[in-house]
Amino acid sequence: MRLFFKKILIFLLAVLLVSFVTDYLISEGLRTSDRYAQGETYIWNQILEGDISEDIYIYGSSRAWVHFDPALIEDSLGMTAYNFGIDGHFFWFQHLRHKLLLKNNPKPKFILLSLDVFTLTKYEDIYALNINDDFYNSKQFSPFILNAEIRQYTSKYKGFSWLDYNLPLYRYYGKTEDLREAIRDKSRPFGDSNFRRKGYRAVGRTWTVDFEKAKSKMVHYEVIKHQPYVDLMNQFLKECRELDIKVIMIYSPEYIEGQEFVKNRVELMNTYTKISKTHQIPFLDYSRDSLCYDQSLFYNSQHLNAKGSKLFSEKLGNDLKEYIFDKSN
Amino acid sequence: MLFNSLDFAVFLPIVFVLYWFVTQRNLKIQNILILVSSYVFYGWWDYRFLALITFSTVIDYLIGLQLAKSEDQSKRKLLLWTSILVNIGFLGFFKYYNFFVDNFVEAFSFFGNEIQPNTLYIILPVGISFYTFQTLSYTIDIYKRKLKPTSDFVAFGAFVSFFPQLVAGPIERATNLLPQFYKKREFKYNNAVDGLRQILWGLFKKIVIADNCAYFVNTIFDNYTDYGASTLFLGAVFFAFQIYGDFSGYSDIAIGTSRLFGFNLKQNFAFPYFSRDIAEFWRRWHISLSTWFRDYVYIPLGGSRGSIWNQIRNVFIIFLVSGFWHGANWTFIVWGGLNALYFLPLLIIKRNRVHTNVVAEFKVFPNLKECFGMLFTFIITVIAWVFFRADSVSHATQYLSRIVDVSFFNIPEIRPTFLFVLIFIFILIEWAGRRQLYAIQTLWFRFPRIIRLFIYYLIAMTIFLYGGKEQEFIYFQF
Repeated sequence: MRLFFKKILIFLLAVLLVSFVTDYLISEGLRTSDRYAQGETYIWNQILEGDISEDIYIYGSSRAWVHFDPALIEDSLGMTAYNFGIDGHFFWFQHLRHKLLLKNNPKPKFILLSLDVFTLTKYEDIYALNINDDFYNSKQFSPFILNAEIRQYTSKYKGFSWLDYNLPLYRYYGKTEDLREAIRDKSRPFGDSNFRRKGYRAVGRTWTVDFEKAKSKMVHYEVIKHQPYVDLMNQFLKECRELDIKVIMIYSPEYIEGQEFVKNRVELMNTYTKISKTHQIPFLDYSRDSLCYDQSLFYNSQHLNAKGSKLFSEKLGNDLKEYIFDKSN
Repeated sequence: MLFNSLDFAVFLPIVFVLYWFVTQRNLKIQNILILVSSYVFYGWWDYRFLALITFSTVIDYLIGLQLAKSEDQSKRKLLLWTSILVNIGFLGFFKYYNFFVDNFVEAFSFFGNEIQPNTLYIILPVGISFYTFQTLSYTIDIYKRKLKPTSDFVAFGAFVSFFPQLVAGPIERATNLLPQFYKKREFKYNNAVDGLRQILWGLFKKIVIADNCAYFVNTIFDNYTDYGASTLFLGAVFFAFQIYGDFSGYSDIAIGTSRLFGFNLKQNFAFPYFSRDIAEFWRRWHISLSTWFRDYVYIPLGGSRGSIWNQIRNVFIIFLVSGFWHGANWTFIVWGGLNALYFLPLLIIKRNRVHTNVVAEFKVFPNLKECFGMLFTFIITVIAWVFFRADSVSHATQYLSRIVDVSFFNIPEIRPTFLFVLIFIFILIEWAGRRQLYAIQTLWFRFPRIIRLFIYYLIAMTIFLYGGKEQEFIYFQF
């Protein structure tokens, strides 16, 4: 019996050791993948490795991700820029990016903070209906789960369990595609080499859904602000001021007819206006811009397609000159 | 509690430690521990199921005692029928009530009489078909005076509810398992290590083979109109591996777990896909159920004695009942009937007991005739499995009719390379280990220890990384 237990213990310890090593190898393989988790892991890795050194950081959700083309902004302003938009997530994880960026990289001169109606909301489990109990694209955090800040921020959401955080390899259980991606030869591009360009994603498709039909089915809804996130944003802006980072709040175009579905839209916009006034920072609102009236520039009511984002980024680049050169110099 | 769940990974070591370190000195207490653990294990699904198994246990315990006491044949018959009616009654109510009601309603409406169905919302207690058959064998064996009843209620309760094999077998006979509860169990290192090895292999079969196949099987069967013949055939082949991996994997885990506690259960699968004809397949597939039906239905009906017509009748009865045992759906009955039809030619030409040994027993590779036999048997089995997997008979017939198409020679639309590789490796290992009780029992013993360990780690890692999405064991629904 003693021999049995001794051998079991040795076997399990060896399993644990092998698990640690395998976990490390998979995580390392995924960190450098430019396509895993929609390319988010690659960006997190750059942030944590201290590979970022830009004049302008762009924060926001998927709307930032697909609307702000850093190359066009760089052309207009003669400054370097990087898009840190994070698909499917609101200010909480945007703030995590900000925190890790400042911790591991030189601070930027400017931050363009992209807003939308959901920026200050909190969903326990935002896409629970279509992705089991996971939070959206949570696998982007898998290779970095031992990082204290990432652990702190992700643990506020449903998704990772205690075992995911503490048992090596557990979070990769049954995820064959993760393993395959980890061991894929990263020197070979997977197809679309422009999948993310400095974080930016150009979406080529056009809006094919019959909007009139979709409109008849849609219900009007209210977006609930999460007060701790409002406080967090205020805190963030205060800290930026102290660090001499200039923040510009931007509400990028939204298809005009899609705006009417949010019942408390005015209240949300007033909140952003109030925040900008409190911190005395510019708030550029493009929600009534001429771009918002042209359906061919969108691929859905919230998101501009590549054509729309090109027009918007050029326009924004020009508009920013006034704020950047006048106020920073 | 599923064998492939975290709950069980915690439950098993706790029971193991309590069993060998706390209660090992007192057999009675050790049996109580097994009984309580088994009830916890079973109640984990739904505590209400416990009432049923307790009732069944008490009834058969009391009937067993009365049967032994009584010499009056008519009273003994009455007692036996009471046990049969109670057990089959439970099974019939929980498993078949709605099926019969629906079919009566359909039959009446066919003749123009519309009646309102009076179906009930009934939860099927997990494993009811298994423990019902186990307790039935107890009373029948006592009735036939093949077995003496036990007066030890705890031992009997533990026998009925023994957690490793409670919900999906192997269906144990009282003659084999019950006496093991009377004797003090000794911890044997080799048995325990062998048990762990069998658990590892069972987990591989279930988590890697069955669960990965399940994903593609569900996709193909649920959208069969979208795919060509070759993909549909591939879906059926995947199901053959899914059900084998699932069920034999469960049996391996059950047998391995029992060995950890010093119990020996019967082999339930003996590499059935290496069978050279359908008769051999049925000697190798779900052995505990086949032998149950053989001993308690087929032989009492006359078995292979009597006229050829009687034999044919008996074969049909046994296969149809066996099909119906699997579930309250016509698909299972057709599946049973189809297997009876496969079996019939062998019975008529009296070649149903030709292949009683292991294929290519003293050789590495089979000869051409054996290859053809195995392939043919596998293909007809795959065809029958379509009925087993389909939602309805029309679903199965449409699925099969779509396979008969020129697109059968096209490359399948679904080609999961990793699964092909896994299945290929799996077949190789099963082939190499076909002379043993389970494939990896002694397979790598000739290799140095370090290589063996490496292989076991590799299997463990494959289970972890290639594990399909967790699926319940198929046989839990039966």
